[in-house]
Amino acid sequence: MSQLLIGLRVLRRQGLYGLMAVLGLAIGLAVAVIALLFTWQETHYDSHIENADRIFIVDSRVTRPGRTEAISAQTPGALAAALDDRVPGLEMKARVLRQWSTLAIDDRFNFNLEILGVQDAWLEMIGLPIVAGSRNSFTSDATAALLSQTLATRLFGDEPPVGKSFLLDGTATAVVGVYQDFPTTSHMVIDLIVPERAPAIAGRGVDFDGDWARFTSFTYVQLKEGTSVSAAEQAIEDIVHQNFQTARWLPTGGNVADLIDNSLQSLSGLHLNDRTYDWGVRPPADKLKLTVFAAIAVLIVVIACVNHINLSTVRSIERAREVALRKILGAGRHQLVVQFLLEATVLACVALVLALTLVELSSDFANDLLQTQLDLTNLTEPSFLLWLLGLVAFVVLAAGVYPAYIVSAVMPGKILASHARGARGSKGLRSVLVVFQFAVSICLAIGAAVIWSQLKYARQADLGFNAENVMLLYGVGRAPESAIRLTDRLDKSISGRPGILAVSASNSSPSWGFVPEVDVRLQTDAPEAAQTMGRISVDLDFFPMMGIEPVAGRLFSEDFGMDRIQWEYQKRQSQVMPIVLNKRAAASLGYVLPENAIGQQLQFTVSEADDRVAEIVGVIPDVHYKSLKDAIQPMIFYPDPGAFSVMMVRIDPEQREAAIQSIEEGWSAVMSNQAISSDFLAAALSEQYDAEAQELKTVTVLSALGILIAVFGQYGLAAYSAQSRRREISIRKVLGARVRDILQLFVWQFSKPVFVAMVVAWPIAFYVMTLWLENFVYRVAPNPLWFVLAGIIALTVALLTVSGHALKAARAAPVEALRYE
Amino acid sequence: MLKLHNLSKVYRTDEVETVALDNVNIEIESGEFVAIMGPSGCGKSTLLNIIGMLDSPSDGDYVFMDENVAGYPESKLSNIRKQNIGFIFQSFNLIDELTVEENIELALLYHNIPASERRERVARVMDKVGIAHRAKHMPSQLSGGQQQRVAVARAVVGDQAMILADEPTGNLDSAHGQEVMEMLQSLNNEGTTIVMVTHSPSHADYARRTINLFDGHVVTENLRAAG
Repeated sequence: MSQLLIGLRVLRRQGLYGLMAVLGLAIGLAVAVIALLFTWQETHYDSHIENADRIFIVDSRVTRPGRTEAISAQTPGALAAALDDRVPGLEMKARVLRQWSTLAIDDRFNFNLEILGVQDAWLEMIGLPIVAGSRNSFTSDATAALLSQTLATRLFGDEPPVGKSFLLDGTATAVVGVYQDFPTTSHMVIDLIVPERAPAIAGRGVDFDGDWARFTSFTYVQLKEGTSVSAAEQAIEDIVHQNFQTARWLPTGGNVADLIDNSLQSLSGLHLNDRTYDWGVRPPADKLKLTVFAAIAVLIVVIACVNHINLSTVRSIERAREVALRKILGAGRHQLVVQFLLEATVLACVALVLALTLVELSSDFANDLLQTQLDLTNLTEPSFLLWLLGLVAFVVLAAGVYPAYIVSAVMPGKILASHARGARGSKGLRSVLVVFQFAVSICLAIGAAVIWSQLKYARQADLGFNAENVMLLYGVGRAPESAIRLTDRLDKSISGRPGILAVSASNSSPSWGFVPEVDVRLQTDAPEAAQTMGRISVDLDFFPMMGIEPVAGRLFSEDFGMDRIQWEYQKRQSQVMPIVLNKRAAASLGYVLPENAIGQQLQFTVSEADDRVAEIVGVIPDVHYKSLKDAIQPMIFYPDPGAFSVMMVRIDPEQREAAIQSIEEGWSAVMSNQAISSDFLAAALSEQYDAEAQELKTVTVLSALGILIAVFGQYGLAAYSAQSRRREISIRKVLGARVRDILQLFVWQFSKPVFVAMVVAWPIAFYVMTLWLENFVYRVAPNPLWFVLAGIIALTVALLTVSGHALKAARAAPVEALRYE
Repeated sequence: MLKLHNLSKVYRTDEVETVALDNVNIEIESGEFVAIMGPSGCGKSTLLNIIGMLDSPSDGDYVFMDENVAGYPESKLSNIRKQNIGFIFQSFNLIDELTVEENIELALLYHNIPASERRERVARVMDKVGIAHRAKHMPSQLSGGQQQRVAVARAVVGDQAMILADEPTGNLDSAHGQEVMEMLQSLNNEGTTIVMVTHSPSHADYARRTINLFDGHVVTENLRAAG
């Protein structure tokens, strides 16, 4: 107890030292706690679902020779009903449909949201917790709906939501129950659930029950405990293979068993598996991000510990006298070690309390940084507390043992008899620790600079088209009406209104990073010579709207019958389809000079059922239809209004507000039951790099924290150095050294480790950032300036930190130090 | 060489005012060897520090080589000091981390002397005080007498006109003390002015003049007959 008191007293007496030690450690611990929380959450997905380890999603992987492999969390709609006792251990099964719909209440609400169409079994399986109303026999009423608490509050405020109604895609729908929001750690988060028979879902005219051709539905199965997952998996895959009918878009010829394989992914493992699904369930944990973040967090904790070791070694050297006295009074080395460790424990606990406060205060910031929702209540989980305890133990051992060992080794006689400074600790070790701190900080700073410059490059790169002032209108492919007529009517409805310069439509926006594929070969080539290329269907206004000019031939136009006729669905089948290539496609067909490609005819094969003859009418430059992470691929632009799913509207920047209003009015004149979803193309393109922007933020913050902690350490060391070199400085001054000379001495002493740190950090940062840059096909080269700049920043910070002490030491009158020696 | 006129030094803290020197008048000629004696706390070291320009007087004049330096700022004092004055301390005040050679060189380091000349002068002065064979040693590897010889070497390597010695023999046994005193005397014979604070009457006998201080006053001045 008395030792605990001494510990606290020591801490208080140390003033600034103590504060720095505690603060530095607290910041390090706060980072560690946040890292722990984050890792904890990422590894505990769907832990609120009781049987998460034996509830599975059936996923599908389609592998076609030459095409990009597609992994979907969905299966054919008919699968769930077909599962029976052929699947060993099958306990429950359910089909879930997910789609975008429009919700409206009077004039107050009209917006798009994702909804689920479910069967009772699913609600039971995941144990959906109801807080108001009921989910019993919910699916027997096709116009019933369950709302999340969040959505219920948004729609109805404080009024009881059960019994209220709204329009879902135009159908009156009644709220029968309200469920607790899905935790952010769920594989699916959804705010509105309806029975799958609901008109919003069943009314779209898709036959889910008999459909064995497309991947449209989520299939959930729950297996009995102890069931062999691989046996069940095999049985399900066999059922799929027996029933699968080749879809229009899926070329046959191959064996369906080679084409499709299915696997079972447990809900508890879903977030950490390696499968990135195209749509529907949360993207899996970014393991690289998790690893890198954990590694950096460990580094920061280590830096903080290093700092703590440095400060406490230095401080304990000053306490050599106390230790010597204690030894003379009979304290054994063992007791002294215990005392120092206790002090370290007190300090670590104070730091931990501070750290938890910091975590609480910075949780919003951390959420933004990590793109997550940290659940602080996890802090009180018993197993999490164990982790925290381990962390404190680590800090105490790491930061307490070395100083305890050094100081307790002091020989008492030597200390008391002379004016020597006693145990020095290892100067070498201390320097290594300082070098380490700065090296880490410099690495992180260089990382931040490289990410920043690549981001800037990616966002400002010339993509080959003019993305400014273009609005994207989504959801034109989901209405039951044929896309041809719909986009045509929308086009006519929006065109000509104030502020609208051009209206166009396509099957994919450059911001989606997704380009469907097609097999093509020259008519003169054998079928085996077919190559896979990207295909973008566009309307006749697309190229002028995007500001793309041909390098050879012509673009699509109303002036050509073969272009126009594509809008007449029946007639176009027998016609030659005009197509425009990018230069890369022309080159890979053998036309290095684009002019030579004009007039050539191709076989254009999307699938067996969609096989056309096409004629090359123009070649355009290689525009970026994907992010700069991907190489530009050979691409074909073709006029097929049947495939349109997004509209692009160029507006007049001078009349921005009017244009936006024009688009909304033009939209709602055609789409009475569907709300508008729009975005600016430039913003959407920029969002492709949001992950990198997040990385930049994270690395910047961590590097700043690293430097901050290092500064605390540096400050302590400077104070110590100024103190212990007092006599030497006095002698030098007596011998004629000026303030400037003494300052030089300090500058050199504290610059040296930073210079060494630079030399250590540069190659590491270069290597790591070169790897990082390889994510981008189009990238900047690491600029040597960033490396120098990071070093200069570290140096400046280091010198500013020590300047106070150095100046004080340099200005001190020399007599004092000499007299009392 | 120097002249103190009505010189006083008062140390003030919040509560106490301590008069260390009170109206001191002293004149020291070039080439003199002066010993300052007196009981502990009489103001000897303060006087020496002021003469050495390590401290400034509170009142009065200090004329050094025809220049009244009493009100000079530190930078100016530092300049005069490094060109004219060498110091020898009771506790040697060598820097532990530097070798004998480097410790001596330190006195030339701040004088803008080229490295080659520095090395030459250090070598010469090490020979003179008989420490050349220890050039590469660290101070902690030397006996007290040897350390003080290094300190003397450091004090004279810059050809300083005056050496201030604050109890140079205080930490030495009598044989080594004798050695150091003889060294000082031979320096004085070569023309160096020496001002020395000492407790030892026998060492004071090496000086031609002894100033006795008591409570900040000059009590007596004894002149020893030359030879």
